[in-house]
Order: sequence, then structure tokens, then C-alpha cells
Amino acid sequence: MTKFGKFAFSLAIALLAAGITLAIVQAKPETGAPVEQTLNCGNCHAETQEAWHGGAHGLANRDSLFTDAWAEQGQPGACLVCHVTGYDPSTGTWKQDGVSCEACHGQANVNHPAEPMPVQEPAELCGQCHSDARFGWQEWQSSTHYQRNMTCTICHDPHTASLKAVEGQGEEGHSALCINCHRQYSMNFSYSVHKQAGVNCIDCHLRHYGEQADRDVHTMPDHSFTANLDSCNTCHASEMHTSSDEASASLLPIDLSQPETTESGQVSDQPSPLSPYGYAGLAGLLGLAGGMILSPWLDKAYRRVTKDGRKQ
Amino acid sequence: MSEPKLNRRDFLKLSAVGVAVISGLKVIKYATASETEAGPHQWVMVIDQGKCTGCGYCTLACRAHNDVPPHISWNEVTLAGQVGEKPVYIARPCMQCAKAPCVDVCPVQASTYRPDGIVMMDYERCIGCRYCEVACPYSARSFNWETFEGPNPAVPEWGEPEVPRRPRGVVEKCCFCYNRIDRGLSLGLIPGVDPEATPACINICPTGARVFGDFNDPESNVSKLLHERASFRLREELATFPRVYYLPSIPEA
Repeated sequence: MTKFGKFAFSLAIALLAAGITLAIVQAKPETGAPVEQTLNCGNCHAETQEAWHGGAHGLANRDSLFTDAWAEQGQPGACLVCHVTGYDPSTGTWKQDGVSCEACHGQANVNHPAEPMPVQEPAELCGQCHSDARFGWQEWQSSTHYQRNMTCTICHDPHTASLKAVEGQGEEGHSALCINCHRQYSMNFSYSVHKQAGVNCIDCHLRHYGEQADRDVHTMPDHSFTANLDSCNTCHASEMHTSSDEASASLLPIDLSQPETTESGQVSDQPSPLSPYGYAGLAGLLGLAGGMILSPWLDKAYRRVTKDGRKQ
Repeated sequence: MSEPKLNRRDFLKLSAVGVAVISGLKVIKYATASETEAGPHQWVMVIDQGKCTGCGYCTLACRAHNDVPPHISWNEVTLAGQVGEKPVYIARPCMQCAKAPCVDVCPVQASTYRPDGIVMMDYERCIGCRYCEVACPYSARSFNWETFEGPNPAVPEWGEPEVPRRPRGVVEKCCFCYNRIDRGLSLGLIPGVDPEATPACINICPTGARVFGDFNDPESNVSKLLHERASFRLREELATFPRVYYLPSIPEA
């Protein structure tokens, strides 16, 4: 048997194995139900659970925004790593629906009422799902808020997954939350043309993309909180150079990409789930190796079978 | 012979000695200050006015963790003035005075000192006379005119209640979240370092303006801060010896 023949033979086996794997995996979408939903946190923390249940974390795998997009993509398991709690890629099952108590507070402690179950390092924890540029994490790291050790939960309520409510300082909407700390700036802002035109803090400093429903899934407002040329152009495009105009860009050296301090190890240590193609690739490699090793014997057996066939 | 009579001179002598003994005892009692032996820990709070933005998160977290009704603030934040362009705030919890006027005036000893310096309220014992509320130079005490019923608007956004609600007709005040401190110590945690053992207002502070710790531990954050920076306490001239220290806002050069 020639070397080429041997290789071709093993390649055929590899393709067969990969194909079968792919067929099996694709044929079985993740319809698994939660394995265990026996957390009884709500017995004592009823108010918190209620707030959580109606928020984005509680709705993470129930909201139609998710279910529709998920069904459209063929219900891949990769989504479930963040959208449910305790997802097991090997069985396609999970422990609790949504981003449950356990997702952030850890597994229920047997001594719990006596021992508290605090969330350790909230900022890094949020970053496990709200991780990269698409989820706002990279911009957030370049923000002064982050560099001054502020955490997500200072502005966001993790249970309702919405912004915290503070008594408005004569301001409506989200500006109240900003002004709650940035009072000094708000004093001058009150007399500005921007204010009179109804522009508030987040229109420039937290560029957001319309209403929740209109947004692409997963896009986050720019959490660097830095106003840049784009924010001005939103309203003043006709009066200004475009952002692609290099001459104007060089006049305004705004660099969003360079945070003052970058901490290493921001990359999540959570395993990323294998896609069906990953499994198929692995099966293919195994098939290739198996084919290479077994080809002399398989070849012999094949010849024997065909010879016998010819004799008959 | 007739019995020796107590003449005027002897009577005056005896009276003088009696008065001297009684006033002497009073002085000694006063000088020994609190009757409670000082424990190994002495909790103090340090509030950096330069970092405080007056956001009021401390008040809200306190309301939630101690189930305080919305019209009462155990920890109040008020605008004190300006340093340069910058507004300066005073965040005022209970000062946990070492010589607390509220403890002195309480007729039923519902206010007492703990060995770690916290001024405790016994809500079972309080008769609602409100002497302490008047005596407190910091207005740190509030009277419960009515029973607090219904949901607490600060819950669950700012935390969850960890102590029972106080009944109607008692005076209530901040207690440095003693329940968190005690639970933390029993679990081997360090108050001021581990958030689970630290008062709620300290944990929530977005700018890290509030620091908590053991004054007796020279390595604690509070000891270091008070060693390095100039600090003051509110109304020091009253000799109440508060356990809340303030780091003044420094004008920007």
C-alpha cells in the first residue's frame, strides 16, 4: 500500500467520523431543561428574588429577545454559558434558569444564614459574561470610574440589572445618577445651551443606542464615559468635519484605547464551550490518526473481502 | 451627768466631712468615665471629606441594612460649605462617644456602652422619654412616632435588613452595624477589611471616603490614616470623645 493510499484511506475515515459527529451534534439542539431548581433563597430574600425575577438577569433565558435570537441561530449551547446558570456542555443541561443567585453568590453555603454569602470581587465577576468590547468591558476598563476602583454595582443594581435609582437632584432620568456624584460639573451644566436643548449627561458621555428593543443584541453603551468626536457629530455633523477626516482627528488627539493601567488576567478563566464544529474537528482528527494506524489491517481485510467476493 | 450634746460646731464639722466625702465619690465616678471595661477592640470610623461627593449612598445602604424608615436617617449627609470650588459634605453617623451625653441622661439605662466602644440601644428597655435625643449634640437620634409598616423603599436595591424593626415609641440610632461586626468576628473576619464584617455604609461608599477599623490595632487602616493625616472630630469642645474622625478636605493647589 502506498503512502498516498494510506493517507487517502485514513482521510476517508476521518471525514466519515467528523461527518457522523456533526450530524449527531446538530441533530440534537439544546432543549435540555434545568436539572435542579431547588434554590430556596426566596424564602428569606423574597424582595430581592422578586426584583431579580423581573430584571435582565432573571429573564436571561426567558426574555423573547433571547429566545427568538437563540432559536434563529439553532439553539447553540455557547449562549447558555452566560444565559443560564451551571450549564454543562456535555449533557446540555443546566442547574438554574437565568443568571441565578448561585451564578454570582456561589453555591449555597450549608451554614448560610449564619455565614454570609457575599459576592467576591463584583467587577471581575460581571466581566466573566460582560467581557469584551461587544459587552462593554474593554471600554469600561479604560474609564476613570474603573481606574478609581469603582465597581459595576455602584451604578447598577445587580439584582434588577438596571440602573440604581437615586433621588433626582432636579434632574430627570439617568442624569440624576451622574449628578448625584458629579455635582460640581452639574452646576455649570445647568446654564449651558446643551442643557436648555434637553441634552443630558449620557447623551454624550454614555453613547447609547436607542431603546433596548431597537438595539442589536449584546451591544452595550460605551462605558468609557468619554465624549468624543462621534458624540458631537450626533447633533453637529453638519457643522463639523467628519470623524473620518484625518485632519480634524489629528487636532483632537482622543485616545480611547489606552487605559492608564491595564491589569493582566482580565481574561475569563471560565472554559468556553465547544461548538459542534469543535467536536466534529476532534472526531476528524481521531479518525485520521486511527486510519493511519489501522490502514494496513483494514486494507488487508478489504482485499480479503473483495477477493472472496470475486471467487463466489 | 447629762449626755454630751451635739453642739453647733460638731454638727458643722460632721456636715462638712459628709459633703466632702459625697462630692469626692462623685468626682471619682465621673473621672472613671464609662463604667464598662475597655475591650481589646475599639472601633472607629474615619470619613475623608475630600473624597465624599455627598452622593448619599451611605444613608440608603444604612436604611436598607438596618430597616430604617424613609423619614429617618441614622447616617445623614449634609452640605457643610465649600473648600475652593469644591462642595464639602459632612456625613454623620452616630459618633459612638466615649463619654456620651445620651448614656448619661437615660433614666432607664437603655443606652449603654459596649466594651468595644459602641453605644448600644436596648429597644426593649427604652421608654421613649426622648431625653437622649435632646442630649445628643450631633442629632444622631430619632424618635419613632409611628410603627414602620409596609415595605422599605430602600430594600432590596440598597441591601437587605439584618436587624429587626424598632417598635413605635422608642428612640433609634446608628450602632456601627454591631451585628455585622460580631458575626464577622465570630467567623474570623476582620471588621474594616472584610466587607461582611464591616458596616454597610463603609461598603457602599463609591469613592472610598469612609474607612472603618480598630483603633487599638496600629496596623489597621484607621490607625494609619489618623497617624498620617490631620483629623478632627465634631464638637470636640464638648469632651464627648467621638469615635468618628474626619479628614478635612484639602484645597486643590
